[in-house]
Amino acid sequence: MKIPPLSQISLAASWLLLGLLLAMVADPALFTRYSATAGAAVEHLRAPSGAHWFGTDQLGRDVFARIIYGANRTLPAALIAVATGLLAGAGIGALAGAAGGRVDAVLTGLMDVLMSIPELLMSLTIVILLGFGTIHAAIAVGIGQIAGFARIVRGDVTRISAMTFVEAARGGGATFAGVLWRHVLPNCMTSLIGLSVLRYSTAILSIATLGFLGYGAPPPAPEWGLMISEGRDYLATAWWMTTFPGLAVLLVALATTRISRTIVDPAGKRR
Amino acid sequence: MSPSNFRLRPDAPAAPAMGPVLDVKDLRISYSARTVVHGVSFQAARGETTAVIGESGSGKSTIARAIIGLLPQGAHLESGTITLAGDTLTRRPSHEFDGIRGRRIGFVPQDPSNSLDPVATIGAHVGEMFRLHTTLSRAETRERVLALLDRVGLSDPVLRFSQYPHELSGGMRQRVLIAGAIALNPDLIVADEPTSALDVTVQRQILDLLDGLRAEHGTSILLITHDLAIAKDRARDTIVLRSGRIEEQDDTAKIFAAPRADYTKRLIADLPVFAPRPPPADIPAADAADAVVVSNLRVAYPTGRHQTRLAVDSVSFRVRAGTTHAIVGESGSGKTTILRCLTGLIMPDAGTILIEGEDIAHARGPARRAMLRHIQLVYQNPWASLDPRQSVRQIIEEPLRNFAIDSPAGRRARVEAMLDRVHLPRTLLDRRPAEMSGGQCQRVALARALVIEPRILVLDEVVSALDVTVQARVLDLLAELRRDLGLTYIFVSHDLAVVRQIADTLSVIRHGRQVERGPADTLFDAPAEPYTKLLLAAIPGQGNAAPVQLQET
Repeated sequence: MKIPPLSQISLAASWLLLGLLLAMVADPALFTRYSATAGAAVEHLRAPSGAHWFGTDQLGRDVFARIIYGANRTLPAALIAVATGLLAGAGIGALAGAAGGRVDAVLTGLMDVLMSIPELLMSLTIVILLGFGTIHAAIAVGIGQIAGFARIVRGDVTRISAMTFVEAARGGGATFAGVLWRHVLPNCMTSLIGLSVLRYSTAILSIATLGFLGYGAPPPAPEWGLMISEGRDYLATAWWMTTFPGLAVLLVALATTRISRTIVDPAGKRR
Repeated sequence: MSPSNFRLRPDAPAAPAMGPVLDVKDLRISYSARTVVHGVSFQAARGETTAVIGESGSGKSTIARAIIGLLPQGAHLESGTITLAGDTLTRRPSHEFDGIRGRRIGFVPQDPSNSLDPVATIGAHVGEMFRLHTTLSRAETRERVLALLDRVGLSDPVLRFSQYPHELSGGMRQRVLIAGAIALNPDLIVADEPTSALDVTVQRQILDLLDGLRAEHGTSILLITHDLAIAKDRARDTIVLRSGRIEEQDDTAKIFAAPRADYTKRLIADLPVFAPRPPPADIPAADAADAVVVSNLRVAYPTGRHQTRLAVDSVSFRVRAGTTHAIVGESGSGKTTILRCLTGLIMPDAGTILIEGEDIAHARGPARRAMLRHIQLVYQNPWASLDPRQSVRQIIEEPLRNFAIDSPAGRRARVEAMLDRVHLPRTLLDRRPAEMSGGQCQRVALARALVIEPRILVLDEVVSALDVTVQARVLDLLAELRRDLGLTYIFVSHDLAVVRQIADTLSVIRHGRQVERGPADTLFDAPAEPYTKLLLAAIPGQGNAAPVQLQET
C-alpha cells in the first residue's frame, strides 16, 4: 500500500482532533467519568496511571477530565473572539475599501494605530476595563484581532472592486451596495475563512494566556490557561499538571493552523 | 563553437548543409494522464519559414517548448525524436541542452513585456548570450551587442544599450528579444506568437524584420501562430495543428489555394480578412434617428499635481439607430476612454454625448440610471467580466433583479429565452465561467447585456480574445442580434479585418485624436489619411506588398 504524504496525514489528524474536541464540547461526560471540579483529597498529585490518565492535581481532581471540560469553555470562547474580530474587522475593512478616499485614509490610519499596539497588551487593557471572566476575555481578544481582519478585507475589497466583472455589474444597473454584497464580499470569502481559522488558533492561545495571567475564568473553573497557571507551583513535583493542558493548547492551535492552510491555498502551491 | 570562428554566420555548419534543419518525428507529449500531442511529425526546411498554426489548446506551444527543451513541469515526453541539423535533441540531460539553447536554437517568446528582466539593461540582456556561450571579452561583447541592436532596427544603439525594458515600447522590446535570439546566429529561430501582443502596424514591422534576417543569414524560422493570415504572408510551409494532431501540412500556397482538410477549409473561411464584406443588410433609412451623437469629446487624465494628459481630444461622430459604428485604433489611442465616457463610467472634460437625443452628462440619479440601462457594455476578456462565483443563471438574471423586472418565474423564463437567443444550450445554466470556453463566456456576457433590452451595445474588442472559428460565430451572432432586435452597435477594435466585417461607419483614432471618419466603404476603399492607409496595409493575409522600411516602433 502506498503511504499518503505527510501533509495528508497531518491534515486528516487535524480534522480528527477537531472532531473529537467538538464532541467534547457537546457532551464532556461521554469522555470521562470524573468530575472537573470535585476531587478526592486523598488522591491529590497522583502521577498519570490507568485510573487517572493524565494524573491528578493538588486537590485530587482528574487532569484529563478538567481538560475535557475545559474544551467546553476555551473553544466557544475562542469562537466568540474570532466572531468579534471578524464581524467588526470585515465591516470596517469593507467600508474602507469600498468608500475609498478620505474614509479609507481615516479608517486605515486607525487600524494602523491599533496594529502598532501589541495584541496581548490591548486585550489585557480591555479585559481590565470590561471586568474578568471568560466571555469578557474572549471579547477582549476579539477586539485585538479587528485590525488584522480589517486590513485583509480592505485589501481584498480594493482588489476585487477594480475587476472587470464589478464594473460590468455596475453597468448592468447594480447599486453600490448591491455590488458589494453580491460580488465583492463573496469573492473575499476564501481568504476571510482561511484567516478566521488561523486566528482561531491564536485566539485559543490568547485566551489561555489571559487565563494563565488570572484575567479569565476564576477558579475552580477548568480553563486551560488557568490550569497551566495553577500547575506552575508544582512544576518540580507534578509535571503533568502543566504539560497536558499545555499540549492541549498546542495541538488545537496546530490543528487549526494546518486546516486554515488548506483553505487559503488548496493546491498547496505556496509551500 | 570556439570564439575564433564566431561570426554572424559560421563558415561551415557542423551538420549536413542539405536536408531539413528541424526534423520532428512521432512526437507524443502528455500532461499526467492527458495526451496533448498525439504523434506529430514534421520538418522545417533550411533557410525557410515554417508556420505551425492552430487554435488555443492545439498543442502548438507545447511543441515549441519541446523543441527548445523547456517543457513545463508535469509535461512528459512519451515518445518521438526531435533532430536539429542532424543532432538529436530529445532525451538529453538538461546541462547539455544549455549549450544548445541560445547557441543553436534562438527563441522569441510571445509577450515582450514579461520576457525581459525589469532590472537588467538591454545591453545585459543581449550580452548574456555571449557571456553564456562564448569567451568574448566585455569590450568585444559590447561591440557585438551594439551591432545586433542596430541590426534589429533599434535607433541609437548606444542609448538603448544602457536603458531598461520599461523605457522601451512593446515593439522595441520584441526587437531586443529578437536580437538575443539571433546573437549567436543559430540554425533555427523558434518564434512563439511573436507578434500577438503587439499592435498591427508594429506586428508587420517585426515580421518584416524576421523575414529580413532569414533572407540575410539563411536562418530557419519556426513560426508558431494562431493567425492564418500571418502564415499565409510569411511562411513557405504551413502545418495545421488541431487538438495535438496534424490536420494538414504542405506548401503554404497550396494550403490556401486548395485546402484538403475540412478543418483547414473552415479556418480559412472564418478568417475575416478572406471573408467578403457582407452587404449592408437593410440599412435604415437615411432619416433614421441618431442613436448616439458625440461631439468634441475631450478627456484629460491628471498625471501630476497640476499636469494633465489629453487621452481624448475633439472626437466627434454620430451613429444612426440600427447601424454599427466602429472605433479603430492601436493601444493607447484612447478608444477605451471614449467608450467609458459613452457608458457613463467617466465624465468627459468637454464635449457632449447624446444618447437618443438626451445628454448623459446632465442626467442625474434615477433618470441617469434609466438612460444608462439602454446602453450596455460588453468587455474584451469574457472570463474577467463574469463573476467567477456566479452561475450562468445568476449572471444573466442579475440585471433583471437590479431593475426589479418581472416576478422570479418571469425572470427565469427571460433568462432561458435569452440563452436561446445567444444559441447556448440550457444545460449551461448552472455552470460557472471557469467551466466554459471563451466563446461560451462571451455569449453569456452578451446575454447579460441584452437581457434588460438595451438599444445600444458598446462592444469593446469583444472577439479579440477568441479563436478565429469562435470569433466568426460570435460575429455572426452579433449580426443576427442586430437585425432581430434592431440594436445599434459601437464596436471598438484594433483589428481592421474584423471591423470590415461588421461596421457601417467608422472612426480612426490615433493618440486621442480622430484621424479620419466616414462610411466604412469609403474608408476601406479610398482612405484619405496616411495613417488609415498604413493600418489597412498592415492587415496580414492580403498578399504581402513590399516590406515597410525597418524603422523603430
